[in-house]
Amino acid sequence: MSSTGALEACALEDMYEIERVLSWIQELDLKKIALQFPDELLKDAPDVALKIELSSKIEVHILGDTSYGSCCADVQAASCLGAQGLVHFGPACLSQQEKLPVLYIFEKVNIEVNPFLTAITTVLPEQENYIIASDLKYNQSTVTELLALNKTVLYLEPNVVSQRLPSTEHLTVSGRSCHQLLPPGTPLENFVLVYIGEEGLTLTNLMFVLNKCTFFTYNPIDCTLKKECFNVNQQLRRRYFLTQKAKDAQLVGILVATLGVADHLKIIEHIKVLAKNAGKKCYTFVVGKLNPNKLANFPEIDVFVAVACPENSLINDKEFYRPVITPYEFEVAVNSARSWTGDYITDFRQLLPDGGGFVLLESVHREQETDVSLISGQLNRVGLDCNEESVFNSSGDICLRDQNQSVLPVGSAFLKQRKWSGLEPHVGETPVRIAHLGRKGLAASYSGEGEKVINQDNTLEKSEVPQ
Amino acid sequence: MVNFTVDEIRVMMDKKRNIRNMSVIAHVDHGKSTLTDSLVGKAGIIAGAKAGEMRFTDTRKDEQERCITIKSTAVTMYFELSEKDCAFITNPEQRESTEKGFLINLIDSPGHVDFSSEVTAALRVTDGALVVVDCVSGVCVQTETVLRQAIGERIKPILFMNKMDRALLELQLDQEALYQTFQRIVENVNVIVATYADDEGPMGEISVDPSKGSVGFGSGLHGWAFTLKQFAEMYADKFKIDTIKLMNRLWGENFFNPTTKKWSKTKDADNKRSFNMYVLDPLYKVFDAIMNYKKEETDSLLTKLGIKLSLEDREKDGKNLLKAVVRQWLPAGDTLLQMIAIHLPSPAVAQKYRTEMLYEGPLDDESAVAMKNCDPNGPLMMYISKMVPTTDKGRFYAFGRVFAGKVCTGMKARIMGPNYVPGNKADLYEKAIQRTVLMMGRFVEAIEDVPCGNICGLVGVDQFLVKTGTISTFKDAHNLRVMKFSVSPVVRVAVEPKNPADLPKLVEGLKRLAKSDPMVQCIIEESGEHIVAGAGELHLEICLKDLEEDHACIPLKKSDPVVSYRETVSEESDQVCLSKSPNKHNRLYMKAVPMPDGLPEDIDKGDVNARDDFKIRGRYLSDKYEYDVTEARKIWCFGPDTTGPNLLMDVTKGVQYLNEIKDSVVAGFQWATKEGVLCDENMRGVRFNIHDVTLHADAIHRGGGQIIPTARRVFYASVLTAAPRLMEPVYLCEIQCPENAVGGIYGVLNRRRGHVFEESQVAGTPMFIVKAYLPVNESFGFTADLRSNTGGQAFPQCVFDHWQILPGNPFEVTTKPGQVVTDTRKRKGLKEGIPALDSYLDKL
Repeated sequence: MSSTGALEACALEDMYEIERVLSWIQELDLKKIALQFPDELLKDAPDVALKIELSSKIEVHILGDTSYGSCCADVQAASCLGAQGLVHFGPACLSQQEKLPVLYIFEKVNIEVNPFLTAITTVLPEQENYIIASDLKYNQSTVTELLALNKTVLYLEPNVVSQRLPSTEHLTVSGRSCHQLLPPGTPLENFVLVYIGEEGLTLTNLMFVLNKCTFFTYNPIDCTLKKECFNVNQQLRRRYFLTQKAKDAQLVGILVATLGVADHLKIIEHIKVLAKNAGKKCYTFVVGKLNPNKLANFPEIDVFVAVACPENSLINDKEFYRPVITPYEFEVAVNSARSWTGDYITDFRQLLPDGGGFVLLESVHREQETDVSLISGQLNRVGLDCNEESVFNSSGDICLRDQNQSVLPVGSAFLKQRKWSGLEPHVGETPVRIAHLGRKGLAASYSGEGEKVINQDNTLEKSEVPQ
Repeated sequence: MVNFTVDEIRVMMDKKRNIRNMSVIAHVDHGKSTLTDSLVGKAGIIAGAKAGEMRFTDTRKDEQERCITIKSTAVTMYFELSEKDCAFITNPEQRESTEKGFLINLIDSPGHVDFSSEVTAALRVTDGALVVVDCVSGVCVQTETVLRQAIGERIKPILFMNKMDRALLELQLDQEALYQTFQRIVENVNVIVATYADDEGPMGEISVDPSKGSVGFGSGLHGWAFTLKQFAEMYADKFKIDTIKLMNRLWGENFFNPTTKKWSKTKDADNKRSFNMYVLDPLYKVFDAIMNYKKEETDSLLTKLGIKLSLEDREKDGKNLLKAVVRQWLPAGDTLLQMIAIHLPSPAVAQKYRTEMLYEGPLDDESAVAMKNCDPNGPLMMYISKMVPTTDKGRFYAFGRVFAGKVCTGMKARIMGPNYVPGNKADLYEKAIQRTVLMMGRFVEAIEDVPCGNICGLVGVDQFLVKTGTISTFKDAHNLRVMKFSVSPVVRVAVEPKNPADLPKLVEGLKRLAKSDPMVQCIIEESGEHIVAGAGELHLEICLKDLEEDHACIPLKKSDPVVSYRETVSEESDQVCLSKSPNKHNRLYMKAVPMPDGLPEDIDKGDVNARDDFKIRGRYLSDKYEYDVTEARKIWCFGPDTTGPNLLMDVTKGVQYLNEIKDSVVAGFQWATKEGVLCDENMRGVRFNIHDVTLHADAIHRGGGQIIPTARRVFYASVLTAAPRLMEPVYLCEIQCPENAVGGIYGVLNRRRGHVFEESQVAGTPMFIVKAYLPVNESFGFTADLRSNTGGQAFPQCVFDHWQILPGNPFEVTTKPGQVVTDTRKRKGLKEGIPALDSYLDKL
């Protein structure tokens, strides 16, 4: 969507499909709705909101900063406001929501059919099987016209309307589903995926999931079709390395990076169970938008598992102190019933019992096993260590804890190796002083912090003088 | 056929004074395995006639095909020594007073330098070493390397001059020349021995001496051998002189005049060197008579020597007859047995002085005392030195030596890996030992229990150890020291399955491979590549073959061999680098400085390490490397992995809260030194100085989240401003060849960026030894190249020696290091080009 200053009223109406929003409100009989805009469109928000409010006579709220990616519908914030529905503008990941009805409004760029067909026939004259997916900003009705190819074409249609297709039979990826069934006997390798749009998270996500297909991107502006050079195999290898890291991990941090996507609580529970079975300890973190600084505050965590929408799940940033992996990768690492086959699942909902990629957790092994780590070259313990206590005290009697043999849990073992463990009390070495009022307010700016700079000497003197 | 049973062996195992644990070590192709056959033949495991051809200890198919030993193999044998030979054993700790039987645990080791780790593993579990030297080529590199290792482990050596048949038949050396050759080899060996230990040391006399009987001569291939003792015994009656006295006369500057019957210390016109006259002369006569088909002379010699040939042997002539005759006259098995029994220490003797080298814990605790006394009633202490594959795929026998106590089938023991620290549960497992077995070359025999002083295999322990470890029953036992290898895994190959779905099988295979070889490293790189790293091309070739055929059992794609690089700096940073934390409230000021030559190596060797007392370490650094004492005391840490050859030093003065951020800076340091800025390789030889730090007054604003990423950035900035360079591994390459091939060697080396630093002739032979440094990266295909350029006359032995700066600026893409950086970054999927300085350096 272009963001060129103040738009004419009719242009605004057209671009944000206010008509459609109004009819949606009417249809569902909503009394209070919230509007979510990506950052670059936020400046049009008041006008849009005002228009809707005036036309529908209901309460309209604008959601400002989204807690996570702007592609996810922020139903959490909307429901906090008491809204009954949410209108999401701009690019979306189309993850399934469960709390509120969501209306997605995209940009509508038209695509011409003929240049597309010419491009296809010149670049790929031999190819028979296609899967077509597009960026959401292209007018879907014009995209469907492209399917008039004289070949086998599967179209990944955006799931704008919340509905569940049986994903075992239908290809579902990145919020898009194929309504046709795969022709039997044609393996996915034979398909070429033509993506209409530019490189981005959606494309990356598609490439990971459909990693057996060849990818081409079509640019509707200059009408060019080119082979995608992003090396997905190299990326998959790197992700495999991360699963091995997760195997070695003792402490696992679960990062809640979405509050909107359906079933996120279930997957968190699922990860906890997996971690427990593997004898790993885990903590859950809610830190808002992820960045390296926030996560580096927990250096004792060996690996983070991010629960996020499929498009924001693949975090491969070398700036992070500890790797951030997806729930699927964590499951590959710790659930021996699931092995790395080269297939990849970015949508965590598929890992859950009613998802298409569900694998039953292997029965908890009582006997502790070991595994050679190919990263450190050392042995890792696998599985629960139930008989540990009895190992160290076979008679079962209560005995004095041996100073040399004290076994520390993982977390506190980390804290123990830290050189600095807090201020030392120096009991008896410092004079006793009466408590006095310290600073107040938030750490970002304490109340009176500005003043302090001005009359610093003054405050210093004051605090120095004991009462 | 086998002339002893497991029960007999079990009885012998309790007689610790009659046990000899020994390894056979030598340069490649000097005839270890062939010589070992003579002993195995004597024990009756293989037919006597086959000894010398069968190479019983080369158990693998490829070992037999290539005629090269790859894995060290153990054999347990039982022998009886005759009463009069027993008299030579004077130390009461070396023999139970009435027992004539001896139990010999022999380990045959590979000679090729690529498999040195197998030698190390063999030496650890033995107390004595039979050093085999080919008397034609003399003492070679690998002889020296393994001998040095043996002495370092306090292993007592005895010497055997092999391939005498070649000296006599092919080279036709005259008697004096042969004596001189022997003399030189003995001297060379003793020089090496004396460099690393002296006779006054805890091991007692360790130099080898023919006149004492600790040097043998002979031919493993023909199955004959002798020491001066054999000949002295023959003449003792005739001369009416004590055998021991006569042995002294038969070596060195002792001459005998047959006409005057006078001994002399100097060579005169009419006297002869006693060794030549009494030892070599009869041999030469036999050789001459038989090889020149002098039938009558042969017969008279045979009667003189009292040799009665079997009917079958009488039919033979030439070389075959010679073999049969000498083998009967001077059987190699008997000679070797005597040398081993008389001169090598029993566990009872050896463990007294070896315990302090082996045990990491206090030398007065229960385990240490039991080890010193070789006490079967003490707590169990056993060292597992390697894993031997079983017939059951994926499982291994844990092979090792019991130093104290007894290990029995079914007993519960503590299995401690190399990272075990007393009081911690990391790398510690308490499990039952399923079975104990005797390792007999290609067979195993179950045995109920094994007392201290013996070598055996364990079943069911393999899954709790990767390669090596300690097994004990004592709760407070410390580890037995891990082995130090003389080679490093510097050659790497990336492998992937031909069918991507086989990846889990490959991973499983890699894990097994990692166990089966003491040296090989199987790792997954950050980029997700599966790397197999070995000591050299041959080592890797064998490992990959094993991986493909035995461990993973899937077809593999292998990359060309590559080396790993290290990142370093060549100058001090041209400015004090500053990085600000994300909240801009904390600033770190730092500089990178190259370490002085030798310090990274000192750290690698452990001479300077994180566990040293900081005062002693500071003193050492200031004495040897002229570091400022106060600065040298303030080393924050080593890295990567807290032990690597990079230093973080605090040179600040009076900074507030500095202690509080230390852990975070150290974490950043470990991270940055592990993944260097140029191409994500480890750093090496970089010293980082923290010059100043300004911190926010509130602890919440200077937590790990603010400091760790900032520290990493400032380390990178410091490296980028300090003229960063890449380092590559370099082999020390020793090439043996005749003089006319030397020119060809120079040509090949020059083309491969190698340079010769020493060239010398092996005294008494036409052979030359050329020593050169050769970058590992250029060594691929070197052996073949060298052969083709020298008509197959030159044989190189390459062993990793040091790291060396790859000349050129890595920032210029056209230079060699620039190319390496570009390739490496591409392979690892990193952004193209080294990151710019301003992404790490902040302005005030």
